[in-house]
Amino acid sequence: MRNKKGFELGWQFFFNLIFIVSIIIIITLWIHGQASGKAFEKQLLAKEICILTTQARENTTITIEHKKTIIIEARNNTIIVKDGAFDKGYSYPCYKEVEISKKDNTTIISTK
Amino acid sequence: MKSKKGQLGHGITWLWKFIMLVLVFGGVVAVIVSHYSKQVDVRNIEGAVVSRKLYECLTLNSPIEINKETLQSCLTFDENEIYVNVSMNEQFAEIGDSHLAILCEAIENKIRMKKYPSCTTSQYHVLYEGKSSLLNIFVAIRKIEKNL
Repeated sequence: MRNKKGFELGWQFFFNLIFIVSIIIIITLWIHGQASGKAFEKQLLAKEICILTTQARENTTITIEHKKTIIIEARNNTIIVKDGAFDKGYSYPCYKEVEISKKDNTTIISTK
Repeated sequence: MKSKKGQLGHGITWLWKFIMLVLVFGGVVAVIVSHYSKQVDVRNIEGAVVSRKLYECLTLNSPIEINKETLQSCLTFDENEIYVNVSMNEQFAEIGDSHLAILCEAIENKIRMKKYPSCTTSQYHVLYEGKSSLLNIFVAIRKIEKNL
């Protein structure tokens, strides 16, 4: 049976271990996300959509095929590209109001 | 029960470990961020597209009318991020942050800047009151955080 001091040391070690391991896991997941190029893909897609919609004439429909997890939104002339519902996404301020609708892995963007 | 000296020593060791942890993980995060957060600068293309769009929009009406309202009706501008200057004969209109034009002049004078705007100057030949006129469109885009 451990004495009081031994129990205290064990608890501190366990706490430190959990703390460091959780930080390592978070950092590893974050590095994986960064290195997989997802952030870069989102940035490119948002900028491409902005340029396309700015250039397009009124009532133009642009159809984009992408991965199922990709969500394209438009808020106050800003194009937002998310990878999954919980992703904060990449936003790029643009010049035109657009209407966006999604069907599976296809997003339809209509300019006004 | 720990002595006061022991408690102080324990505190200092804990603080030292914590600082080391922050330094190591902070360093890793800083390196990864600097390596993978490279931005694609599309402002030159954007400037050309905005300029072309303004030309198309302004030449829809005959005779061409250049004023702030017409520019605003062509595209929606975030006035903190862009400066547009359109001129033809005696007509002139501008929209946005005019400080960007000063920065563009500085770039032309080869002054080096770490965070610089993108500057696009376009000229179009248009028919105005039966004569050929030059429509000048100058577009400066800031959007530094998103492109540099």
